Amino acid sequence: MIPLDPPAASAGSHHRDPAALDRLFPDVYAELHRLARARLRGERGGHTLNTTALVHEAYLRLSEQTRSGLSDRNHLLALAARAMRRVLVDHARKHRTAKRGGGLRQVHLEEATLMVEERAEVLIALDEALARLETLDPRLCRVVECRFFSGLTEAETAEVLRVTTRTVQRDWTKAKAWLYRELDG
Amino acid sequence: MADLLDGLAMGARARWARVAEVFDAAAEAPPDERDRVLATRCGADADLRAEVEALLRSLGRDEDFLDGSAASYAAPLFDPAPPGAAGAPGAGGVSRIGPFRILREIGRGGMGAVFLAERDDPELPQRVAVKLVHEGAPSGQALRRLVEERRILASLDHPNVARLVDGGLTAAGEPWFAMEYVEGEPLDRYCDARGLGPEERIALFCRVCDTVQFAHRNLVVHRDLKPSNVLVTAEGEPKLLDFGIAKLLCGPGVAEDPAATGPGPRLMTPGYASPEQLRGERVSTASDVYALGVVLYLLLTGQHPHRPRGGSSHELPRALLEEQPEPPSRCVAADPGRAGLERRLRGDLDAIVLKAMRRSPDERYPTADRLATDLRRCLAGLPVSARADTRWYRTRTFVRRNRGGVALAGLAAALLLGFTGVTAVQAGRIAAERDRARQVEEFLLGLLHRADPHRADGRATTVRELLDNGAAQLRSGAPETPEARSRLFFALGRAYHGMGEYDRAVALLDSSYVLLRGLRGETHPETIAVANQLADVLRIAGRYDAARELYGVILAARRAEYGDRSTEVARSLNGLAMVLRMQGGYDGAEKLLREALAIDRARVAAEPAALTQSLNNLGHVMRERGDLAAAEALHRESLSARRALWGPEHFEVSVSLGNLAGVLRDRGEYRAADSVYREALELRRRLVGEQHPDLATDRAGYALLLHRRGEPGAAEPLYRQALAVHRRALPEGHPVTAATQLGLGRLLVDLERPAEAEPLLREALASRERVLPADHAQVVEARRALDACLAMLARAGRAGGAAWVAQTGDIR
Repeated sequence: MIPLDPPAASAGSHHRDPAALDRLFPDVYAELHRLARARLRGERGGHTLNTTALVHEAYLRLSEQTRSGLSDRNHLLALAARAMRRVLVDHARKHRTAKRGGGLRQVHLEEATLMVEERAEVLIALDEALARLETLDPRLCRVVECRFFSGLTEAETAEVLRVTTRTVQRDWTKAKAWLYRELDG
Repeated sequence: MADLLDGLAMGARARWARVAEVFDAAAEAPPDERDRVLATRCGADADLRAEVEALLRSLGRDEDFLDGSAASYAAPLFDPAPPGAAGAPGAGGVSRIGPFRILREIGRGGMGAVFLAERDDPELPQRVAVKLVHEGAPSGQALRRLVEERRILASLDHPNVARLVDGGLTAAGEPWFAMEYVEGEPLDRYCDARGLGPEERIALFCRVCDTVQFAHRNLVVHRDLKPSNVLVTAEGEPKLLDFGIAKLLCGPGVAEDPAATGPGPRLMTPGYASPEQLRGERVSTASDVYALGVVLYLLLTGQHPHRPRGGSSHELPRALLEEQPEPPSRCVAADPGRAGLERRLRGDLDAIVLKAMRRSPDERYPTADRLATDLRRCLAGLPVSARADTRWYRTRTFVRRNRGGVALAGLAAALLLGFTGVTAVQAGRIAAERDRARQVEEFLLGLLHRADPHRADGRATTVRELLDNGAAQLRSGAPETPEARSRLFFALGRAYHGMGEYDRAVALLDSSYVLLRGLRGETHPETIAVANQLADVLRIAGRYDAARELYGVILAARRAEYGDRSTEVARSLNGLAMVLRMQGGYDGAEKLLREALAIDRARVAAEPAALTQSLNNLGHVMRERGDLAAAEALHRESLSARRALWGPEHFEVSVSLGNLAGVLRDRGEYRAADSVYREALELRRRLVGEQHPDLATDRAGYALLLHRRGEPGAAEPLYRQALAVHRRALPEGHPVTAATQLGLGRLLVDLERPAEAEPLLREALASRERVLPADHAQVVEARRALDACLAMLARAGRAGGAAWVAQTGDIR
């Protein structure tokens, strides 16, 4: 098993300067956050939200900005996946802080509030579990970011991480098993 | 210190690598081999095994949120304001519910009110129907379930389901639900307003079943199906409302768990709720099937199955629990204006509706899908599972399905048409006659009962056996009345005709004709109907003189009875013309057919099928006269008319296809002919099976096409198959057999095998000489073929060896 360095699996020698791309992370993050807020707010319940489209859109804008070539695509997508995780989890944390800080408008046991609270907690717990998983097996963590946070398919994930689809399938199964156990415990 | 931490981390990683490896192997092994895999891989390392097993267990749980998308999961976090933040709840004066602005109230019931509302967002104008329920605020536990249920329902994405758009609690804690707003009419009103017939109602209802099935597959039970929850849009699309809402409101554990003690609110509609719902027992998909049965009952009869009979409406639930509804057909029987409907409902539809409405869930259709399947089978005339328990029933369906002569080339069809044709004449006669009709019916159905067509291997064999049994019984004297005997001889004769067993058909039809002529007289319409059938078979069997004489009698009788411009006269003209054609009298045949065609064109609105017969026959005659363009046009017109009349899968369509293919071949359009022949052969094979002489005729025609376009090797086996069937099925010396022999004989001459060709060509010539004048083109054609064959044989004998091979070009 080849240990992979965060934040992305694709930091191969053929990249001109992967570190330069990694410095884009804040931009990717900001862009995604902006897009996510705009989109998610428009969707009722978010059920029709297309995460992949969101990530790809962020990627397109960034690649325009950086004039990075096609060979950087995988690296950027891995970055975007990671950024997506941060966007969502940060939002969940903010939500919890606001709640604990009191001063919330609703005091009723509100359906939407309940759902939001519960989901915020789950996302934060997931993020913490992922951090632990990363120390054990960084690639599993990357797979979760691509599949769950970015909504990439197995084949796309395999391309981004430069492994076979079969490896992605195995990793994804293992990661889910590990995370469900952690979240439950 | 840092070294120590690194060391620990490295140890954990190494350990994990071990776990991961064993996990991969175990997860990919079939469940029953996992133990073995684990034992082999873990050995004595119990901790390793325990950890892998824990991981495997956590995969096995029905947790799935990681399989969704993170953004969808997190979406509520981005909602700017939770719904239900503003507006006074409940009664009058409500202006907002959740993110929706109330436009007007559109309904009100015991449980609450329904409003037309609009999303309060100028960029996303969305109209919804908001249901507000006046119930106490749910407890915390119930609320969590509510949220979960809402999530499932919102994911129920189907074009025929009005989607749950949103939902929540008002400030006062009252649940509300926003559904996609549908403009439409309730199912029953929609059907009544358009005067839809039972078939159309059933078709629409099947789509409702499909939608319910979709929801069931997604583990959502509707629980409150009724016509007012099925709206039909102006485009005719059914939309199901309020899916699962009843469960949301009942709360979990109440309606589902029989052990639950709390009564809880039961949201249902007594007239449609299943007995188990009324009793507060476990609700399942079978409860929806029950409600579907009630809806179907209502759609078909216009009445509710448990309509109170003068009693108070309080009695309704008791009736539901204790009484079996009367069959739909009996429900409409009281109305003499609906006798047709009663007949349509009696039998299959009665059984289907009642099966859906059985009091015990286990006895109903297991799924909405199965209910729809049975209805669709019923529409198609196939046996339905609701009645599958009796062999007797399957046989009857088999017969009814074949009434149109579609599937079995009119085998059983002919049988039953013969039967119904005669009994139709009887309708309205005195009771004594009706008894005789019943004798006929019992005899026929008894025959069919004994020969269960669904059990035998080959269709033709089964029907053949059935007919042979029938004929034998009839000859041995049962039934006794001459009228009944005459009818049965007729029915069986037609059936043999349909099977291509012409000699037997002639014998039986002749018996029928003789009996009936004695009973009714020679020119009585019933006698003439039988005579016409007999003449047709005589003609097809190649007994042209007898056929011609009989057609003459029939034509005269019909001109007197129905007038010169009647369809009956046109039919006889067709029959007579075909005899003339076979005997080489093309002028006379064309003249008769043009008269028939004029009659049929004038009467096409009333008798659309008749026209295709005249077109077809004139097409044959024009082809034989050498006017191929006219022949093609006539066959094309006939083909398209038949398709329009009966659809693509019909015996008569296959006849037209074969005819058209032959003309195209003769015109030299080999490519077009090839594809039409293939279509004809394929269709015939499906409809009549391999052993039917008509299929063999098309096969021989296709062989001729192959021969002409230079593939004699491929043509030979086709000819031989065709000839074998013709020899077996047709009387000796039949012109169709002769044509096949001629084709094969010529092919063999071209393949330089004159010795094999000679007997075939001699037989073909003899058959034609027997019925045609010596100078007839078909006789001349056969004689030339034989001469060429004999010349080749003579040269071969003279030159010896292979010398004649070089000269075969001359004889072609």
